[in-house]
Amino acid sequence: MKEILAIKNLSKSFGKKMVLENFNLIMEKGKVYGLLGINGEGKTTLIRMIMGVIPPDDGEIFFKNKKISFRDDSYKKEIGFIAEESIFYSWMSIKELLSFNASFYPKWNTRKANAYLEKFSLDPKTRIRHLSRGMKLKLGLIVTLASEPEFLILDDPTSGLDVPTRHDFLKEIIKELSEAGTTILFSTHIVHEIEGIIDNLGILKFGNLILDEDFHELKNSVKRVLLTSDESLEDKITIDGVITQKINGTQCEIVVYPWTEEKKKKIEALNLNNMEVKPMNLEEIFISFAS
Amino acid sequence: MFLKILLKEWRENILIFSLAVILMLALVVLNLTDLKELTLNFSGMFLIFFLPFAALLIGSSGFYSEFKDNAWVYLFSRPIKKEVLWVLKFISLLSILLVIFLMFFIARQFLPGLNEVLDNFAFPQEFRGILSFSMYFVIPLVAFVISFSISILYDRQFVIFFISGLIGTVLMVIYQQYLLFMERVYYYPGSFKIFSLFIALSFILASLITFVKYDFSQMGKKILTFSKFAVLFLVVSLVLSTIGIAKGELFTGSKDFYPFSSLKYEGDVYTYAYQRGISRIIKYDSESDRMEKISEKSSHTRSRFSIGGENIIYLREARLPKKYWLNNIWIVNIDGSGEKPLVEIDNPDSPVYNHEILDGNLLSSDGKEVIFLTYLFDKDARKKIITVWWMNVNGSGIKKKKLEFPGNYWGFQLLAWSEPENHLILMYEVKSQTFKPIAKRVVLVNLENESQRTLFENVIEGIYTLRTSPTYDHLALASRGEPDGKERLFILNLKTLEKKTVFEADLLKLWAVKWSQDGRKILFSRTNELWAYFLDENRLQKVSQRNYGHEVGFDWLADNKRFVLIVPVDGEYHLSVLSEDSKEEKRIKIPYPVEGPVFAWGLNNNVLLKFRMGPLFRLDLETEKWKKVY
Repeated sequence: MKEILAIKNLSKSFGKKMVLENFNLIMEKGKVYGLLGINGEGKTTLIRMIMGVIPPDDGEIFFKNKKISFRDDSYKKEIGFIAEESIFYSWMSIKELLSFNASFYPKWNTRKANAYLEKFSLDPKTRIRHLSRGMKLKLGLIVTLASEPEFLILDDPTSGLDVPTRHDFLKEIIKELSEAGTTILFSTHIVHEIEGIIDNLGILKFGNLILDEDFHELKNSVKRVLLTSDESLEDKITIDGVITQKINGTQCEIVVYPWTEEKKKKIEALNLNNMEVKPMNLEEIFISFAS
Repeated sequence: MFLKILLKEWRENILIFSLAVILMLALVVLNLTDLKELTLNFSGMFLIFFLPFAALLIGSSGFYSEFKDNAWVYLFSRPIKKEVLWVLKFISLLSILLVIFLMFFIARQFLPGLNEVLDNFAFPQEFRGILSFSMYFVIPLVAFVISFSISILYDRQFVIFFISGLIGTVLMVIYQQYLLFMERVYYYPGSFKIFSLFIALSFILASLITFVKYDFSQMGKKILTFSKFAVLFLVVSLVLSTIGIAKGELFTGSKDFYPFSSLKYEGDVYTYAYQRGISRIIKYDSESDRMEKISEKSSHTRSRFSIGGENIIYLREARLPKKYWLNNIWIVNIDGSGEKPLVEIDNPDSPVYNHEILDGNLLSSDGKEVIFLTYLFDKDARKKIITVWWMNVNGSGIKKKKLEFPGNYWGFQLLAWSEPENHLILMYEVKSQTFKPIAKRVVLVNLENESQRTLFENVIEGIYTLRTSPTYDHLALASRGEPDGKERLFILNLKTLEKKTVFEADLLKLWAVKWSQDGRKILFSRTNELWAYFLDENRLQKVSQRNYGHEVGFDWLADNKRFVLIVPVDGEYHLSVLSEDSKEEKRIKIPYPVEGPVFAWGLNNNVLLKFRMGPLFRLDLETEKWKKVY
């Protein structure tokens, strides 16, 4: 396994509110990591700490096995970052911003930037204040991709965009990048749109990862189990890994992770009328874990 | 990267820069007209108001665009060290301010009219001691540094602007108190610049540390962190600069004395000296052949003193709040004993409480009476009040008279007091309403009936040329005559008020006048010439020897028959002893490097020579031996 990013015991609070507490994460090179969490769970805070925008209170961050500090800057040359709202200097034109940004990156690829400008039909003379949200996202992509980053961090970039634009962004750009081997950390709360593209899934809650798994394996091992019986099933479900449980008299719905043969036999040993085991999509998985 | 940041900052501040250009153009246009008063006022407004305003505005824009557009996330996530980012922004914005300064300096160079009016621009009285022309640029620079430093804290530019202005004002008040304290102890003319530098550094450090190490997103914490560091550094700066000034002055400070304020008296030479931060009166004592301390302290800014009988009077700082530049009159015996205050403006029981004592206080020739001038501004009548006071040196018998002078007058100086005739001779400068000097005038004031008579208009004052005779009965001075414009050296009889013209020329180029101890002869120097004038014979005589280029190295000896002169001979310098008819009796080589003026005092067979910024030597004319006395 080749690690590109490792986070150890990272903590951050704002006043009395603890946002992240002993947070740990390891990302492999070349993978697409989906980071989910409801609003306010600390996704943006985590990303800002990785990018050196705000300092952590405690913990360590390693990029390509090198420890990075709040004051370090050189590692950022290899990281592309698209923030939740692509915010730039509103008085600049697209051309001016790209020129300004290029000065920070030795590997800046002007040809690529121009190619993306044409692809996205953006006029370089347009002032940033006159761009729509979608256009700003596209500009953010150009700003990021023209520096040819090895690692791309996306902090909820598609929030507020219309469906076709989101679709363009995700399917055409992200897929293209991941196929090219770029490591991507995609933070979002719009769950369903990353289902087809992520390799790993992390769910952030209470300041830490409550789930950090290979997504395909996860999908195979998280199951919704529907049970019916003649008698009440209250206190009868004693298997491990029950994520959620809803009992309604003689009917019961549980989400189990990981679902194993052993657990299946244990459930079957109960006096049941019916047992249905159903797969879950990402949205359902997230809701179950996050609730 | 720097270029991009520079261009970005210039672009964001183009409005204020454009305003500066427009104002400069207006200044140039005004200067080409005859509207001198308007030009002066406009220039003044530009210096006093616009420059600090522009500095605050430019500085407070430091991180405004990042706050406004929320672009700080974008900027901080770029591969650039935060301290580098801070510094590059600082330099970029500073460059805008410096270009505005440069435009002003260039205009000043090419517009002589602007130069002239600025040289005569008067700043409020309270700051005159602190602020020279260069301060008009130091203050905006400090304002810029403060506003830029705190621009990291908040997203409202005008809040930063006003808070910076407030901080700057508070610091100026603190500085005044600091100056009061420091000048009580040590005189250090550069203290304002040192103080400004330390303030600037304190804010820079506090801002940098907060910016580099702390969370930009948490405003409360940021402000608290910055405040803690800023206060800490300011306190440290204040302590360090105080220690530095004191220590520097105590151990390595300069020691020098000022020949222009020296007086020969009873075979000794008394002078005002600056000794490692302390100003005082010292004397060369012929008997002990060494320098002796006469007063403990003396005013830092007023070096004149007066000797009469067994007494010396001089000025020393008063302790009036907010008016630290004002002085009391002190008295001391010529042997340094019995030093005490004589006239106290900081004593509420004193009749001169809160007045300003003007320059040139005089003792009577027997040392028993003192006469001095005071100034007070009557706020109700909006009038300057000049009062002459005279009293016994034991404090009794105070008399006073109010004096009125026409026009806008400044810079009073008492020159001579003729007690039997009860008249006073004083000099003052007449200025225009825009403070342009018009003339120096010497007037006679009759203390009985307060009448005044102008004795001389257009006095040419040089630091060595306005001299009372040691016998207190004559005054040598130069003035320019109207309408012929010729410059003349006069001797005024202080009792009869008879004026004798000693010398006249289109340009006198007068350097120094030295009286013989019997008050009957003078030597005076012009560029490359030395002359003698004999009062009794009304005879002028040119000294045959060529005078040394820095024309103060000559004096009468105590016998009133001979004088000494520094002469260059084949690239070396000698002290020549001449008889009054210019016959050289002796020539002694000066074994020390002569660079700049050398001041000479002739004593009884001894000569004191003070080398510029260097030691004082005593030469024995008989043994031709040199001794370093100071």
